[in-house]
Amino acid sequence: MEKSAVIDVLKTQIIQQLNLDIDPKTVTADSYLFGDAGLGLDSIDALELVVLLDKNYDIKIGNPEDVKEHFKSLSTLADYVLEKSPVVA
Amino acid sequence: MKNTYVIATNVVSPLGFNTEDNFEHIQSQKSGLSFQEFDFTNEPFCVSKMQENVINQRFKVLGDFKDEYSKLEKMCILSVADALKQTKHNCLGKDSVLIFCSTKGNIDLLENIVQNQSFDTGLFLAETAQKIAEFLGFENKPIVVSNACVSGTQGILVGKRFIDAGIYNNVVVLGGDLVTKFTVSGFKAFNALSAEPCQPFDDNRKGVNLGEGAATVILSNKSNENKEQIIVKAGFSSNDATHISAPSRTGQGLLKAIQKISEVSDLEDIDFVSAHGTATRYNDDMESQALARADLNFVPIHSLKGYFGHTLGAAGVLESVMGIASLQHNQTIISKGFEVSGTVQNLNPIKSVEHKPLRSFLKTSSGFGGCNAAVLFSKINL
Amino acid sequence: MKTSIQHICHISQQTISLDGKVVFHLENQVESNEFLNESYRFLQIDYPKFFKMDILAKLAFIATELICKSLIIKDINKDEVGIVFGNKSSSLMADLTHQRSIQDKNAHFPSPAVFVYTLPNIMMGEMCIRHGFSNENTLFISEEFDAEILAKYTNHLLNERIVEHCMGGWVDAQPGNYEAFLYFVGTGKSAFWGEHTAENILGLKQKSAEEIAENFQKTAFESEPISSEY
Repeated sequence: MEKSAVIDVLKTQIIQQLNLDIDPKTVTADSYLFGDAGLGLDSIDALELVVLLDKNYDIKIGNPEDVKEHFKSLSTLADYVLEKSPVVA
Repeated sequence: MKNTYVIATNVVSPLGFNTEDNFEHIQSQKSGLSFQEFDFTNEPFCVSKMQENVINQRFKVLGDFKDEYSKLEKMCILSVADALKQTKHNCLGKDSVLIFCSTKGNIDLLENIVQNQSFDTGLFLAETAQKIAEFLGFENKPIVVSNACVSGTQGILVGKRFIDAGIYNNVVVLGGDLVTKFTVSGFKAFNALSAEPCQPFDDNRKGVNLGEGAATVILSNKSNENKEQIIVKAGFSSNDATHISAPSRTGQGLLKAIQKISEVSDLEDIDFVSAHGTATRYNDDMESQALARADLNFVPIHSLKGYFGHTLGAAGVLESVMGIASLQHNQTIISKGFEVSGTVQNLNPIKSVEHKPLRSFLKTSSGFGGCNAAVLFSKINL
Repeated sequence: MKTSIQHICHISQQTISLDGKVVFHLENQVESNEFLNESYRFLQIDYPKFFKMDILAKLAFIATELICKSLIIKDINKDEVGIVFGNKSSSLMADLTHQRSIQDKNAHFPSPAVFVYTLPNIMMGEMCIRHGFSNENTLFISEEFDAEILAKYTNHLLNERIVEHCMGGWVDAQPGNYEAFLYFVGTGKSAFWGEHTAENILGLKQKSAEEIAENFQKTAFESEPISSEY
């Protein structure tokens, strides 16, 4: 799977799973996921991302603190999924 | 304002069925925590869970009731029944009320409800309270308080206020909650659980253990016959107004509740703080901030989560009862699981049982939804 | 001290009424959650976190928003606003969602964002975050709206100056059914809705429920003739 395709899928899943009231067009691969400058995700959302990665990509993460750098943007998250997920070829 | 007296107490937990047994066991450093298996994970988790057959044996003494009462209801009935025996006051009549404090009540029934698509009665908290109150013979309809992990402490506050306002003369405050797959899986998803016994305030703390129990405090506007009395001196609650699950980094809400107590009562005489102390990184740091800002961080402190786990809505009542026992026995309680200081502000966790005159303590609780509550208990001589 | 009811807001049957006037009503029957999202959009509120909330919090949020916007007294000390609510079903709707996510041990995916709402007092926490209320929150659970306990307790908090103002009310949600009845209580002279007593809040709740039902029947009749089998 191409990285850009993974980004698109992740974007849809995140907006849906995290109940974000955001127009997908305004979210780019490099938008920050956390903090006011980006999607504005918070600590519960971080835990929710962990569930999303487990459920959809079979990636097990113990503590979101450990993967902080991969949760920076859709782009970093897509890299992480491509590297770790046994279900995304 | 007249005094609100504590005239009876009880704790039902894996460590015993009355206040004395529980106190004795924790003073010998016994814990109710043990490793338990859950079907959704291969990793066993430490929880403080009661054995149903032990509860049933005790409950049989009260009569032959087969399956009419749930595990939680039996624990609650046993707790209140024991407390009622300790006082000559009639706490069941028109001037008395039962306040049931619970976070999730009979939530274990929900699994069958979802399975069978039918709404079993018994799930609603008001029904649970009614069943308990009817069994025990309360004339008035019971009151239910459900404020997350602050429920028990909030229930004591509500009880005191009903007495202050002259609405009731006696208030039986009961806290009760279970360890269920429902709560364990939720707290686990929150990354808030420690698989090992928890270590409140310790540098190595990894999270909380859940526990189950029922506890009772009977409050009254009349004292009992003892010379020495414990009173609920003051109490307030507050909201952080910052986040629904993360506690305020600065401890703002808890500080506000404590400050409001200090406006009506002297905090310099406090002998110890019975903290919420869940052993999550954030909670314990938050408490250290609030206590430091209130100039109370050097006061001896304990968390009882290492003995009972976090009993959710029951915790405030259960931990208050142990604090009251500590005052009555003039014995401090060790903050189990603490070794190396590890909170943002240094605290003074109790490391050994000391026998010394104890006259007052502050009970604090904090919970999801940003809620905080603090209650000051004091000893007086009549 | 006299305590008075200063504003009331009632949400049920796809209708929102503020101080006795219908401000929003949706004719087409939709799911509870969708109705609340529609109300949010109609009221042009800008608070994206709304979409993460459960039904209880959404109900409490919208009613509080409307009341706070229309407060007669503008300079209330928000730090001193308390909340005393009643509810029957606790957080049943969120509880069901959480339970379904853990029911099958082989598809065990509990969601933290759902679990946090399995506590009915979270709705009060959301109100506090939005409006900066930082005083006491108490949630009483009862079989039905217990005006007696709510009024007595709230009046005690006001009389003892534990709080300066109080949001009171009833917020409940069950499958296919929801209701929020919120009122703002302050001290001082009797305001528009009269003295804050158990009888008065019970009467106001019943009256506004009747008005909503009337409105509901009227519009339901207009939009969809009742069939003969009905």
